[in-house]
Amino acid sequence: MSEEYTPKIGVLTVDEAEKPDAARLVYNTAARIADSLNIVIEADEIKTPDQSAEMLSSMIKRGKNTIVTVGSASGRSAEVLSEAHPRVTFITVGHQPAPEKLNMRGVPIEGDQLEDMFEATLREVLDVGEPSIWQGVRQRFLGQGSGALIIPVLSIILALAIGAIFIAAFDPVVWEAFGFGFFNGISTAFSQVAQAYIALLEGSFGNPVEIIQGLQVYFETGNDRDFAREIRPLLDSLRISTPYVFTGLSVALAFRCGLFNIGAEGQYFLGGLFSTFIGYAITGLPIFIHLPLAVLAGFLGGALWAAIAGFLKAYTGAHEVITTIMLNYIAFRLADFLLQVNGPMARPNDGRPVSPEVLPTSWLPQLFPNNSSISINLGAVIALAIVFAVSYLLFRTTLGFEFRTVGANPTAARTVGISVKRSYVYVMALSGGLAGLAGAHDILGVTRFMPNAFQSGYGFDAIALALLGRNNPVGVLLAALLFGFLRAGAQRMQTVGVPIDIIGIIQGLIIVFIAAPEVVRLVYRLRKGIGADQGEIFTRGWGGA
Amino acid sequence: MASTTASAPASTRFELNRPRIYGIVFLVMALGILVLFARDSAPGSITTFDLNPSSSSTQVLPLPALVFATQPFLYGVAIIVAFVGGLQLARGFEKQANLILLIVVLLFTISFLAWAARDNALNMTDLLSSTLLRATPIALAALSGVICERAAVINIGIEGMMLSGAFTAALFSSIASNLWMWSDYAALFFGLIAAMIAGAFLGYLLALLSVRFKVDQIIAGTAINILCTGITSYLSANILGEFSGVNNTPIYPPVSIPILSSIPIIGPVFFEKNFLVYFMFILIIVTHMVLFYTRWGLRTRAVGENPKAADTLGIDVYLVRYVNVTLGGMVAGVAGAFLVLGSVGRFDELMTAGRGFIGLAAMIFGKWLPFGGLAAATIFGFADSLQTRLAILSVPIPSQFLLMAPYLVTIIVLAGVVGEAIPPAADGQPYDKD
Repeated sequence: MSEEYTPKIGVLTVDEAEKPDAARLVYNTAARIADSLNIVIEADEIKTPDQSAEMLSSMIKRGKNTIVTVGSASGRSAEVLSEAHPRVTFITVGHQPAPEKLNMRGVPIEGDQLEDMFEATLREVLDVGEPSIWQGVRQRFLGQGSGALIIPVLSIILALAIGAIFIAAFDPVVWEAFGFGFFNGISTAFSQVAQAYIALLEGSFGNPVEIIQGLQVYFETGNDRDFAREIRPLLDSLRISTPYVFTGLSVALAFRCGLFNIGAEGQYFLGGLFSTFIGYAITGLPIFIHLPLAVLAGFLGGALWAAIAGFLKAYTGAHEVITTIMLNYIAFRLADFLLQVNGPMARPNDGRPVSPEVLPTSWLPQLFPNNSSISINLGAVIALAIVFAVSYLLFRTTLGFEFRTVGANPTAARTVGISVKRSYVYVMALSGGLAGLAGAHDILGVTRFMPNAFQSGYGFDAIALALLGRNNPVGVLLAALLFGFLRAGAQRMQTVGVPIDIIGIIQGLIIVFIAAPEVVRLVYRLRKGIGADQGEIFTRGWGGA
Repeated sequence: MASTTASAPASTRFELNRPRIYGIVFLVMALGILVLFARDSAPGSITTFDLNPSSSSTQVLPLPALVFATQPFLYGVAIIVAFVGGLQLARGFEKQANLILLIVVLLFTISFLAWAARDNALNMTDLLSSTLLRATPIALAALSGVICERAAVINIGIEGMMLSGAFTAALFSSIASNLWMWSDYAALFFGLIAAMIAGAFLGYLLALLSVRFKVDQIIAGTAINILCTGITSYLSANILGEFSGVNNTPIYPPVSIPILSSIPIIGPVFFEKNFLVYFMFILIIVTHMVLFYTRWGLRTRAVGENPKAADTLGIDVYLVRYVNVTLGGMVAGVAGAFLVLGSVGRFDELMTAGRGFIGLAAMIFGKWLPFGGLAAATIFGFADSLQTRLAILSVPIPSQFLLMAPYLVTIIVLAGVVGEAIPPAADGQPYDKD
């Protein structure tokens, strides 16, 4: 950073940019600013978006360090290149780069403020010279990039509000109250909803007052029974969140590579089957060999299952959405076959379709083994480690870079020599492996055997998690915690007469709102630019790669 | 995928092209019939195929049962299939290859049935009759997919729309029948209309999300699935489980069509079904006619293949998509209604059990054609109804594997083994008017 920094602007427009007017507007604005600051500016136009990667490379070679692209295709190519050229600043008009790209700025192409927003962005970039880390942080949490947090939070609030309507509308107590007058009905509705949501909170976090009291008892007398009882909901929530972390990461990872893994459910199943088998069939191993082996088997089971879909996508173009759904059903039937009474994996001399119990040497150790009322196991810690591992894989390794490149633009990826097919197979295998770990967690850490009715609904929840977490590992972690706490709390809500399925409604609404941020903006009367879509979601039609 | 031998001289290397793969597949099937079925049945075994329906409201002209010696029959079929395979390898059937493939698969299936029913009787008419019943919701789901995707909107949400259709049909039909004391047909009609409205509403929601808000269509459909699963389960627990008489509908009785229903086999299979089955046929025929012989159909296909060109010619791309996706949702609602009103007469949580997704697969298998979807749905329906019968025949194949078959077939089809599946060119892509 010591050498002198002189900005040189390059502008790349595509002949068939989505908005030809925008291209002209951007160039004129850039030229005006460059002129006033006495900066070199050069513009290139290309005929088709395919050429954008090459053209951008040649611009960088020619010494441009501030590059403006117009159009989503060239924007994606810029995003691909930005990794390799940290010292070049990219401004992509009509393409919102991932929030962690410190050297990229996105400007929405829609709306009548394009000129102003672009000018502001360009001036900021030119003034500061090279982007600082602080700028990146600010971009992520404040200002224009705040959408990463604003939209999800508003979506959750909105979904909870609509969920409240469902709770009130189908509560016989509320109906009865309306019989005594409108006001009476409304106030009862509010109190019923409040009762339900308080139960939700207490079921997920526990009662803070009692937790503190339990803690006081522990400090005064050394008796931890009260504290353990009160902290239990919180730890239960964490335990329920753990498989969500795995499955959410699974879908998010595949999304990053442009694949929609809708089959986390089947992969979870296969992982569970594999773990179960290793867990009960291999005897005589010490825990430090048996446990890793059983966990690894779970990973492998999911990985193999998903890799089938990845392979088919890569080499035949069969769409992963349908193949993974089909593989789900095949997995269910397979488990049905294996676990049926007297089936190959059934518990001997037992009238139920369940597997034998896995051996204690393959159990995931409890984190508080001395307290039998608390159930949280090593899986939670593994999940946390996996969050960082996936993060590292995606953003710090060549393989992760390849995945993201393929996801952003398979054509560009092929141009720069990345094997798209290999990426598809690998990313699906890893994705399936993560879902398989969720199965391993539930078998080795919670149930300790595989029941036939092992349905979980993780497959769809996982999609919601990936969307909510914006396909960012840390975001997925937060989303998984939210879902885990919701689900744990919903169990308490059942005791006040609200069916647990209300969670399904809330989750579905969250996805709708996050997928369609415009709806949220409409409801909250937000300005258009706020929370501009930063999701990393690229799915395509039925066609091949 | 298999033709990577372009660099090698054609004369020296055996090229594995599609006709040859077909030939090999035929030979493998012949071998399968020989080894798996013919050699496995005892020399004296007799197979009986009953052709008269076991129960029928009208007088069907009686047919004698097909009785034949199992082993000689299977040897004969194996020889025929092997001969066809040889012909295919030697000179190929060119354009008829797919037809021949169909016939060979049919022969293989019949051999399988002959083997399964050796020393036993299998009622073919009943088998085909239940095939059609089980195919109906899948065919309707596939039709829903066709209507949406011809306008280039992928509808992954069919499953959820079916679930909602089933729920509303059960609720409204039950209320009309049990609380308002309507006649059965009036109550059924009311339930069907309610299901169609529910489906249309969800279709409109999908159109709104994917056309207006330009949400990724697959994500929008998935969101609809999750939402519908949640809402129907929630309401089912809150309403259907709480009150009596709200989840107990009459069901459409079979209606015999005069004269036609007395034709052997065909009569009981096609012309003694309930109203919803006939309605399915009507919807498929109408969709086919509209899609290929009317102005609206032409516009729909134009929007599906090249929205930009369609727009240039003055077609309102958005309107076409809104209308088609809403109609598609309506058809999915009918599919859901069938599960309740045409079958069991009550709603159960998650009762669609993946039929919406199988319908999507049938749509792809059927190459985005209304009748193609029906044909593919028939295959799924056949595997489904065969599976229940095999349990009775005590075949040494676990029923779970037979249940897997449709899903495996779907994957094989998607992988492009049987011709390539080519969707409408613009399928899945949002369109921006400016």
